[in-house]
This record gives sequence, C-alpha cells and structure tokens, in this order.
Amino acid sequence: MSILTASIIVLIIYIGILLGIGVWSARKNVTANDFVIGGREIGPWVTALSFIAVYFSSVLIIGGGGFGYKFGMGTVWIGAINVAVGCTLCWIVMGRRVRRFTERMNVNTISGFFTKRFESPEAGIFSSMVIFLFLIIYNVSVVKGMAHSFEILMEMPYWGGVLISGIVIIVYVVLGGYSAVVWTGFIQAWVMIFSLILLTYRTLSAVGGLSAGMLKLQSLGNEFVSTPGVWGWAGLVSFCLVVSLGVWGMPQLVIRFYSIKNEKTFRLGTVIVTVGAAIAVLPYLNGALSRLLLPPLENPDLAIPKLSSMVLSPLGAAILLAGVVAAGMSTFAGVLMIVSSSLVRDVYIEGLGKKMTGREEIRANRIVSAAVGIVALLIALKPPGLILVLTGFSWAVIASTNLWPLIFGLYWKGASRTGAFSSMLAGALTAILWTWLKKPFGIHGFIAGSVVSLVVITTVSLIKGSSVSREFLERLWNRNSGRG
Amino acid sequence: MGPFNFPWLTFTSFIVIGLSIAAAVLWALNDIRKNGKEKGGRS
Repeated sequence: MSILTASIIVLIIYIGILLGIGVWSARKNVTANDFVIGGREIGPWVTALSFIAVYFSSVLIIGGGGFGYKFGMGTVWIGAINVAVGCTLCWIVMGRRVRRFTERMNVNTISGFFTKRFESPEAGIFSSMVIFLFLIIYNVSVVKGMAHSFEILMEMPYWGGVLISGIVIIVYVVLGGYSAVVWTGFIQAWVMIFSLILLTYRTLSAVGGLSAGMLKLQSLGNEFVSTPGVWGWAGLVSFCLVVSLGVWGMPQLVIRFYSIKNEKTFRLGTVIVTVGAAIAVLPYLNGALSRLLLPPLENPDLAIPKLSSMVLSPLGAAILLAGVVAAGMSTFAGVLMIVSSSLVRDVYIEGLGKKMTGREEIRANRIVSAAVGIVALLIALKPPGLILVLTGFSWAVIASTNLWPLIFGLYWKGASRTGAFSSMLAGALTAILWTWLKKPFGIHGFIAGSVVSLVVITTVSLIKGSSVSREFLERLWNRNSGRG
Repeated sequence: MGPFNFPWLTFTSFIVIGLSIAAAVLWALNDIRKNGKEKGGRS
C-alpha cells in the first residue's frame, strides 16, 4: 500500500468520525449556552485534551520539527516550558477562578468577561474587535499550515487541502457548536499523541536509540545538543515566553475553563493536561535527530514530513498526516467558535442592545461561524501580502490585549474600568507598532505589548481607583457561594 | 554528560516536565484535602 492510498483511507475514516460528532452534538444544543460553551457540562478528560489540541496546532508538529532541525536539541526547552507555564501553571492560576467568576456573572465569552467584570462595555467591544480581526487572520495561517501538509504528504494541490480541511471543519462547527469542537478536539488530541509517539519510536530505532543518537548529534557539533545551542539565550527565552505565557490571553484556550463541569473537575483536568502536553517536546526531539537521517534541507519545515516518509510505514505516515491535520483542524474550529460567539453575543446583543431568543442566538451563531469560516478559507486560497505580514503578529496582538486585564480581573479587586480599557488599547497598539518597527532589540511584539499593558493597568488603576461596586466584587470573590 | 548523553542543561528540560506533573498531582491532592477539611468544618 502506498502512502497516498493509506492517507486517503485514514483521512476518509477520520473525517467521517468528525462529521459524525458534529451531527451527534447538534441534538444537544437547546440553549445558546449549550451551543457556545456546551452548557458548562464538559468533563475533565474532554476539556483537558481539547485544550491540548487547540494549543498545539499543526505549527507545533511541522514548525517545532523545523526548529529542532535548525537549532538543535536545546529547543526541547520550548516544549518543557509549554507544559510547565502554558498548561500546569495556567490551569492552576486561572482555571478555577475563570470558571467561578464567569458563572457568577453569567457570561459565556471572553469579551463578556471584560464587560461585566469591569462594568466596561468599551473594553468588551474593543476585545471583540481585536478577536474578530486578528483571530480570522490567525485562522488563515492555520489553514495554510494544514493545506501545506496535504501538499507535502499527499501531493495534493494547495487549494484542495484548503477546501477539504476548511469545509469539514465548518460543517461540524455549524452543526454541533462548542460540544462538537471539544469532542472533535478530544479525538484530535489522541490522534496527535499517538502519531507523535509512533514517529518518535521509529526515529529512535533508526538512529540506534536515544543515547547513540545524542552521541552522533554531538559529533556534528556541540551546539546541536547543548542549551541554548545554535539559537542563543535571547532567542530561546523570548520564544518560550511568547508561546507559553501568551496562551494565558488566548480566548480559544481560556474558554475551556468556562465550560468545564464544576470546580472539582479542575483537579483531574490539571493532571491530564500536564501529562498529555508532555508530547510537546517530541516534534523538537524528532526534528533535532532528523539531522542524522536526512540530507541537508533548505527548508527546515520539511524535516518532519521527510522524516516520516523515511522511518514510518505508509500507514504510519498516513496517521502522522492525520495528526498534523488534526492539530490544525482543532485550532481552526476553536477559533471559529470564539469569533462567532463574540460577534453575536458581545457586539450584536450586548453592544447594540438587540434582543434574541435562545433559538435565534443559536441560528445566528451558526450563520456567523459559517460566514467567518468561508471568509478565512477564501483569504487562505490566495493570501494577499498584507495578510501574510499580519499573521506573523496576530497572536501577539490578541495576547497583549487580553492577558493582564484577564489576570488582574481575576486577582485584583482594585483593577479599574479605565485601567483595563487603557491597558488593552496600549497592549494592542504597542504589539502592532513594535512589529511594524521590525522588533527593536530582537524583542517579540508580545513581550513589548504585554509589558506596556501591565504597566498601564497597574498605574491607571492605582491613580483612578476602581469604580466597580464593592458588593459585586465581594460576591465574585466569595469562595463558598455557589461553589461546584 | 547527563543521562542518555544529554548535556545536563538540556536534560533539565525533561526534569521540568516531571516536576510539572508532580506539581499538578500534589495540587490536586492538596485541593481534595482542603475541600474535605472545609466540609468537615461546616458540618
């Protein structure tokens, strides 16, 4: 059996499962809350594994492998910090409070959190606009990643990859809403975990085991095994921060805390997310070891695809392709849900003061997610130059806007309405300006944006003081009232 | 050289993952204990 035949069989089965989940989830959507956050009834396994699936998009498998190939084994630190800061610490610090506060305020979107917590409609609308604009752009880059995977591994034209992956996702999101997104994410995480473990096992066998592989890699140059290695400290540390602390402000991940069943569920969820996320080191490890097996590559992003076709059987390579596609699909679907709920709930209902029944809100969410998905696909078919530039920092802008207002909103009663709004504005503008100035001193836009945002929210809140009612804050902070 | 011929600093990344798993388990156990105490205190 050739890789192409095996890939077609695996993908047909896989896509069939995803569409089946979409149809099955559609029957569970009775209220708008069911469609947008699964009725806050999602268990620890599904929440934790769908968190991993959304966090680690196809960029991790293909791009992480490329980093490992180019910069050496020191890049496994990126995966380790993803686990420690992006998963364990994020769940412990934010998870339970996000769940508690959003239930007490009866909000089901990230922008809704800002509107209610700071009594600031302007902060909610601004956050919605940033999410709408920059997450669509972010999704274009995700679709591009998936389509290139189809191109490399299945010799399919780029447009074919865009259409197949995009249409499948839009159908299951429109049908099943958030439940479909988390349940497909759950399956997709298992596909990613299994395919990465399989690839690692086969790569280690091909290089004669881990110890032998490390010795051979060291003989090519000490920089390929040491830390920080070829990259240097500045590059490695700033990248670790961006991809680990930045996720704390990413709405498609934070929404997982809204929808988890109750506060006790976080105990098992935190353990599962930490253990599962450990796969994050594998693309870097495989990428670094691939230098021993592959001829010199001009494009490091080809390291994992080339390695898989060398060390895996056709069926194994097909499963890896499914893993790469799974990683991209789960991220695209998660983002689609966030953008549509943000537009319908925060902009149309809360912002413009329009009334809607639960059924009408579900229908509006379906229409908006289909429209947003189609727009992202059309842009991805032939991305204009500007979009390609924007994808590079869309992530930095979203994280810089949301990170500190979210954390301060959960932990500091003194964080004020003006402080939160000006912090969002300053964070977003700094991230954009910093990237436009071509990252002075080699510092990433997210780091500049989040530092400015932190300074602004602290200073302005201390000067202006919080105008949010004391009684409302006490009700939010009270540990015992309504605890799940 | 550390285990599997890794330089120690590079190998420490795997220790960080192990410590993260241990921290998650200890946090969960501590939460169960705290919750039991709170319930006991209220009854």
